[in-house]
Amino acid sequence: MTTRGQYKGVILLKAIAAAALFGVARASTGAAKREPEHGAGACTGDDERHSKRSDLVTYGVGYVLALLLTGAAFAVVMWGWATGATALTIVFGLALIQAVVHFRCFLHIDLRRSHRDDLQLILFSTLIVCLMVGGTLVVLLNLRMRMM
Amino acid sequence: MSGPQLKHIGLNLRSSDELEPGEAELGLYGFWIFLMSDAVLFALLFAMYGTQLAATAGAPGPQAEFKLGSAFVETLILLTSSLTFGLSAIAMKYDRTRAGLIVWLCVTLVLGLTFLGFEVSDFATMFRDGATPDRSGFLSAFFALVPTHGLHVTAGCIWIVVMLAQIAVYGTDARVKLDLLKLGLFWHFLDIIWIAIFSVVYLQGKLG
Repeated sequence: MTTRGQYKGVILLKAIAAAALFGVARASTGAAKREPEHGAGACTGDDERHSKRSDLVTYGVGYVLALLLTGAAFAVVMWGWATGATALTIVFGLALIQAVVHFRCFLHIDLRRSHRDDLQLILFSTLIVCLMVGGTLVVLLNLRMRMM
Repeated sequence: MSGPQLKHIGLNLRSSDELEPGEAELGLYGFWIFLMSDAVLFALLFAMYGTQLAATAGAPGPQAEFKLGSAFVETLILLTSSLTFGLSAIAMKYDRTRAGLIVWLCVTLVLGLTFLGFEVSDFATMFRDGATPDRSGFLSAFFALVPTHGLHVTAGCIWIVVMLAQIAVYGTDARVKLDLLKLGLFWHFLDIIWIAIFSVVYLQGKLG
């Protein structure tokens, strides 16, 4: 693997990460602005068209970001842009970003007040998962080390 | 819980007030709790897989058995099915007729079944190569983790069929809409699990 290829890969990854962050930020601020039209009980036809378009945009942005992040993760491994621990870190980092994109764009979890309960539940579950997975890995890897 | 107005996409109870918004919110929150307990289950399967990575015991390992091409195709299929399910939710929310909803649900169902087909053929290839679950700790962990996701997708496909039948019998009343929303959460959640699977299992396996 050449340094040049690695350099290109890093640039591409940075661009994708920036795009993802931009998309997430835009999507969450856009959601805050959209809120009033959902809040009103009776929408006029014009409002409805507008909110349909914004819902479509949310799914479209989510799909495109998901494709880009998936493609980047596979490309890193398939074309060997990075190796060993670096590649693994990049792949896991991209997976984490993609999970956040899915939560935001497909599962509609954001920082709006009406979704706080769901968000808190997800964050608490993440904490529990980290504790359980971390504990399992420590105990079992330690056991394996001693058995070797 | 939260305000009186529903913010979830697809839930459109403006025309029919058969279901109180509070009740709907509570139902969706309950479904989130189920999803999170499911996430704990998957997380522990992942942890077990992580500890068994090196335990190949002479059986075929990840380098030999995993095919990046088919993992990539499966990922694309699942991602697209998430998009089509989203389109069905949008059709349910805004369209006057049911045609869009039914068409997009059927497309999602077909994509889900195609994904399962690819996965089963992958497993069949592995079995032909002698990579069966009883050969090594690694293969046991692999066949505990990935087919569990496959079973969830199967359950999702059956659920889509059930919802299509319910739409045919009851129409899109408030109950059916709420169930479709829960199905949507389930389907999108499975996609997130698959992100973890292709990263942790397939890509990490190829990196060695």
